[in-house]
Amino acid sequence: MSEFIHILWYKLKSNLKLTVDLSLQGIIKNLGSVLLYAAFAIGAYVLTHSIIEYLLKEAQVGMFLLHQFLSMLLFVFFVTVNLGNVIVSYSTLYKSKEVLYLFTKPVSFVNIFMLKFLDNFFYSSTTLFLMGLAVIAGYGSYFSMPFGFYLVVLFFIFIPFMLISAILAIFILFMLVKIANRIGVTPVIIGLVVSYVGSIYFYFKSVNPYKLVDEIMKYYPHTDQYFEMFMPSLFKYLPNHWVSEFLYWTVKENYSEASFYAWLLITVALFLFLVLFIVGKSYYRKSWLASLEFRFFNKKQIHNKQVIFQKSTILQRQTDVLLKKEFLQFFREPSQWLHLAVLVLLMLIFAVSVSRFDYNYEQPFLQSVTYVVIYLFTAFLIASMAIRFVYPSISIEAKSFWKIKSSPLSIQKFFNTKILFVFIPIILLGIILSIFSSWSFRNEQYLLYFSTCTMIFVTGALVLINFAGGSFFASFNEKNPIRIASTQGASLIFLISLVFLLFTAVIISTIALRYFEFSHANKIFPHSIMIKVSLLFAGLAVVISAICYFIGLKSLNRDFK
Amino acid sequence: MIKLINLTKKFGSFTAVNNINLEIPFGQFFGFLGPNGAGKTTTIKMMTGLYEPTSGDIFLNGSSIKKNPIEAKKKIGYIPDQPFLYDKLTGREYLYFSGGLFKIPQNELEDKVEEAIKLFELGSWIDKRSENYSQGMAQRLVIAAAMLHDPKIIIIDEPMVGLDPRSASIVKNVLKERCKQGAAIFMSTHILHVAEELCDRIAIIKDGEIISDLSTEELLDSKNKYNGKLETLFLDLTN
Repeated sequence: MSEFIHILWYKLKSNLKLTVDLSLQGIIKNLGSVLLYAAFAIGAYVLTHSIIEYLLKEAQVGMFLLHQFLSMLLFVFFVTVNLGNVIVSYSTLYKSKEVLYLFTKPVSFVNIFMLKFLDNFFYSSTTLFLMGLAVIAGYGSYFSMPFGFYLVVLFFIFIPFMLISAILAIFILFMLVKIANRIGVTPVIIGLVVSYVGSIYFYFKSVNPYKLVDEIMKYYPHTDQYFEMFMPSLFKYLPNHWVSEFLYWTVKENYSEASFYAWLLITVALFLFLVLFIVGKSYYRKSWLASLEFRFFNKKQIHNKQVIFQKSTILQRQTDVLLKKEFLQFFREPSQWLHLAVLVLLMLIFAVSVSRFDYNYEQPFLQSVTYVVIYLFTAFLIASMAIRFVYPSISIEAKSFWKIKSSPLSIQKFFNTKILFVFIPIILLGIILSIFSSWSFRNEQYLLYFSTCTMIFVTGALVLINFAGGSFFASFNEKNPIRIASTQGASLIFLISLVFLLFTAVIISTIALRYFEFSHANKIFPHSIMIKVSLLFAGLAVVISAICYFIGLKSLNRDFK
Repeated sequence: MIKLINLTKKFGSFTAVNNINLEIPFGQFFGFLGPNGAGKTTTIKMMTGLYEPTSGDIFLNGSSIKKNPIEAKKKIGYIPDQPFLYDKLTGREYLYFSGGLFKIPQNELEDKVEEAIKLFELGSWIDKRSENYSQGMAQRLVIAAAMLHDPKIIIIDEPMVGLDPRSASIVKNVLKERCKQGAAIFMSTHILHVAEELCDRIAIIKDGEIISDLSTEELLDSKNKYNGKLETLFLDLTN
């Protein structure tokens, strides 16, 4: 135990040491992060408060249904924490240099394991912790809960809930390492993605939120009852249900029921923690050794005899080899193409789902809200795509960037080729998404043109914003694109993208509302206004893109350390 | 010819390289020695365009790296101390990629690639992805790539790091041969006997300044004052 505390103490000391980065990038990054986290926390707080208010006062869904919704959200949260822990704990438990260092010292394996587990739990869950706390604050403030409520929820509900998710992630990881040893890494990754998407799908298929709402709303206005009969019995065993039940009974001031769920969460978390300790003690070292098999010894040495570099193209020589390099780097990296495939699949599901949406409401306001929400969600998906694939594209060069910098190649050409590689596919995706997602508005032909046209400009600007950000905050020490896309700089760029989308929303919603008002009055909305607004978008996108291009290019000219 | 004129590099208030002046003619093998943190790598990074000099300039066969970087870089073959490669590319693809950056015509490049594969004995590894390479193998590939365009100036940072005796011997022979053919070689190293064996001239840098610049004959004289050992001379000068 003293060994554990000794290491923990020095880890804490080293983590708590404040380093002040006074460079321009450092200041912008830190300020941006504070802004971003504050904005997210306030946003989550206000949103929670408003949604509860709307559901209880306007929609009058009743406390039971409200907590069922909460339970569904908590399930998604649980799965997110779980998946996050699986991914991060693979790096911290198996690939970390600190583990290698500690293995060479007379430190027991179980201490190393528990230290890395805690490391991983707090590292991978910090953002979700913050978000969760903001939601709890929004929930508590709506019901005017006393201060003690927040402490109880934090320490006896929220932390055990997240701990259960994180511990289960470790068990899953141990299992995955064992399987990967037999069948290889790629099938395991595909299996993992399918399992997580599948679990969410089957959960919602079983809960069937639409049916649940229908069944309960039949009792309207007497919806404020405990409709236990509509609750699938299986879900009573899920931790998300325990949390929502605890909150439900606490608000209802039935503390004996509430405490049952609190005890249940604490007991299960402690039990799992004990099991984790035992499993870690007997299995961690073995699992680490087993991971060497597929990481090094059994790693398939891939031969690529097909040399696309030998084939001449019409492109200029340097552009040709740069594009080929980009192509191979992307499609030979499973974390890139797999992630792309999953995202594109999810986007297509979204696009196909909303294309069948019925927007024929009586009020033009509701129609315009529907239109704007779909438009913004499409733009949001593109922004997510950009932060994941465009932002890291400069940093992904990593230490190999010396080759580019020391070659007789203009940085502008390199920058342009990088843009070219991602710009065309994302613009195409933007157009496809825009057409599909606006398909339900196809009778409003001009609105469809307007969406598609403005979406091209929005996409273009988003790509350049991410390029500039990725170049400005480029860090060549990390080559994992997923990690690059989750750095402070990336968060800041995502925030800037969202601000841009907010600005877009204001213009789009104004046009959409006027359009539907005209339509309801059987008048034709002047097309000249739509053309003017499209031109305004084009102008704005070009100015933003030009500024971003200049910033990105200038940033790349700095010293390569 | 390599010319370093009043070359200075500052990182904030710290001066890494302070007003260096050097001239290395074609056909000379120049050794650049110095303790850790003396400014060797910083100098090389300025010569290859990775760092922008704070003041002064570098001329590579007449082209200024500051004013005409692309022209200057065409003339150099650079071998860094750590051979970072694009790990998803195979050795062969990396060679073609490098050749393309130097705009070597495709038909000419094919012959050069085959030659390099033979010369650096990369045969059995050349179609495997470089993520599987050992450091020595990666270093051999980087050197092969640097020689593809027959550079008249070769800049090397610690060439023997990670090389086994056979690879080291291949590299030494290639460098000697290039020097004989008239290339100017600028080599930074910690390994004193390598410098002694290969170089015609050795300069020592300490705290960003050149404290000694000796030809082979001068070096021999100086060594004799220190029991014939370069190590003793180096330690005395840098202490």
